[in-house]
Amino acid sequence: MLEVKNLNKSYGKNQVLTNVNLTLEENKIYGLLGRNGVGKTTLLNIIAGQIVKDSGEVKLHNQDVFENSKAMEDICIVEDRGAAFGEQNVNRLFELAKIMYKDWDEEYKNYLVSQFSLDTKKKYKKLSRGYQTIVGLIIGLASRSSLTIFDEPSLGLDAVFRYKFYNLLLGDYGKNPRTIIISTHLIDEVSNLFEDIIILSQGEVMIKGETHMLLKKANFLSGKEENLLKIIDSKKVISREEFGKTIILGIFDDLTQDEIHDLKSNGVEISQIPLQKLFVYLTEKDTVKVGI
Amino acid sequence: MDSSKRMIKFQNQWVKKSLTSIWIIMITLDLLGYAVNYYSSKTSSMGLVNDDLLSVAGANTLVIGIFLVTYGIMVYYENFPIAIGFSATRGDFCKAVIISNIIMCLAIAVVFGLLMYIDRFIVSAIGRQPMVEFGIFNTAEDNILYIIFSMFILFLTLISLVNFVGSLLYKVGWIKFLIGYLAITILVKLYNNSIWVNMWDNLRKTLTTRITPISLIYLLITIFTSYILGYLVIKRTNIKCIKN
Amino acid sequence: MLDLSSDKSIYIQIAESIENDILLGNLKEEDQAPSTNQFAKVYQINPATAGKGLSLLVEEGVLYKKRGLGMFVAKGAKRKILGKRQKTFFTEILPEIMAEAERLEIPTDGLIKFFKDYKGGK
Repeated sequence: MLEVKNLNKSYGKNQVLTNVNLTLEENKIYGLLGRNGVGKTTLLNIIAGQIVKDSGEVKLHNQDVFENSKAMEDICIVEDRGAAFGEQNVNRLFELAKIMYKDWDEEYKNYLVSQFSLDTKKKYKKLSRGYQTIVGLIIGLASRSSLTIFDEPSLGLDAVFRYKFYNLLLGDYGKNPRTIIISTHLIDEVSNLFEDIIILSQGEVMIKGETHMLLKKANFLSGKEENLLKIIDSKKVISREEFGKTIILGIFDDLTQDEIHDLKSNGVEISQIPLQKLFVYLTEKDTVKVGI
Repeated sequence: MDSSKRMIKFQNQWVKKSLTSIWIIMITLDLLGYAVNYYSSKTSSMGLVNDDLLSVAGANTLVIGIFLVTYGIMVYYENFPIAIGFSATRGDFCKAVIISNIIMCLAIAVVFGLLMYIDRFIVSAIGRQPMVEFGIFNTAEDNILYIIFSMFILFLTLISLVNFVGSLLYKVGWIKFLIGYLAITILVKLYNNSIWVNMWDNLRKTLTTRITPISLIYLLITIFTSYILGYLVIKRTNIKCIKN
Repeated sequence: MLDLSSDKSIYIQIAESIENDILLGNLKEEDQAPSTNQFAKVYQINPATAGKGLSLLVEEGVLYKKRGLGMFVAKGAKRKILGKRQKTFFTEILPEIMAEAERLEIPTDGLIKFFKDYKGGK
């Protein structure tokens, strides 16, 4: 449904995205993860026609997205828009959104406004950070756009509102499926929403796959070093801790039933690496760009 | 409703809001002006004054000018990022700006024309000598349609230029814009000062003499070119976002 | 209840929780299983994940799909589940216990005695 091919983007001398390739299928919820400054927002903004790419292709239903109104009308991006929204009254913003989004659901928007107890008479800049985010979330949900992108939807939201949002999102997704991309830093909290995960690292797509498949490959093995030598040699080791006489290895690789059986019979314990920890191990070597 | 129409409807929301304000301002200031002039002496007049001649509605041009400049620039600081943020294309946006600019200039010109037309009667009625000769038009002699049309064209020319400036300001920012402007000014003056002098001359003439077919063509070319330039600036401009 | 932070894949836990309900009699033959959207709402998980769990049970013949209506408990589901779990009992659970017994140096005779004494040695 969405195809990104050989996408490149640099800001001055800073190459942010390097040959990014990505194919997204319809009606799935995708999680986009990556360290600060790796280019998540840049990638999402290019997909949504907000920023111009340097080279490569971005196609929605086989049509170039940039400056193509037929493609753009299927896209909605929700991100920090303080600068543009500031002076506007919330009601007005919803009126404008209603005009622009062809599938806008006014009743659903009213329902969402009451769910969050949003005061729509206020000016956007007078709202708290959390409520500013909520305005964006409501627009994203009520747009019913077939590709809806949420860039850091949890900014400023307390736990209650975050869970409300996840619930509303899942509920609506179940009844009215659409393709959703969520970029977030709160990985463990949201990981169960994602059908597929995309990890952006050092300007490229490092990983893309089904959440549960990735998790299957991510295991801690703890035991005596001599029992783990074979593993160390043949599998991708992403972390290593020494704990008394045992070592705990983080493995990101397939393990066959036989291998599991061997390990267990040698007293090695196997346990799941949670997604957030897996992400940290995989990306901790990324250099975080300071102040873009 | 297809995307162009949606974009035009979006843009007209802003126009509706702005038109209401400018109309109210114009009429209020005029009423105030008439009242002030009625109760005060000739030495403290409010409005356009030339010797003994007075026009209250004439001062509206200043107000309208400021309004158009402010509006034209705000289009890029508010409308543009919101429109693109709501998935409009820059092409559709520019088309909608042009259409809404035309509607707005026409609407303002109509009200302004009417106010100018009745101005001389009210000024007389409050006991002052009305100014009727304004260079571009003459309220005593000209058809009201000519007055409206001539002002419409002037307003549209102004706003098309502001549109181009606004697009540049959004794309490069104030500082770079000023530097660029100064650089070009200096270069033109050094290289061929007469172009510069001619330009200002032409501008003065346009604002102070009646519209002829020739001057109309120049104005239309200016309008057309300004909008094209505005589009060229904006068509590959990034929306400012907070990078993460 | 699902343990979202557990090692077991969520979809497998979903399948097992439905199996448990069938074994306990909470879900009888021809009863409708909770929908993917219901799972999604209650546990805040992607409905596709729930769908995977349900599909697993369809493959095993524990549930069947009624077009447009949802998933229903198949005839003989309880029997199938018992059969599957009995097998797992002997291929996975008991061997684990035996391994643990060995680690703790408990002799086999000790185990046999336990089994005999427990519940009057059935």
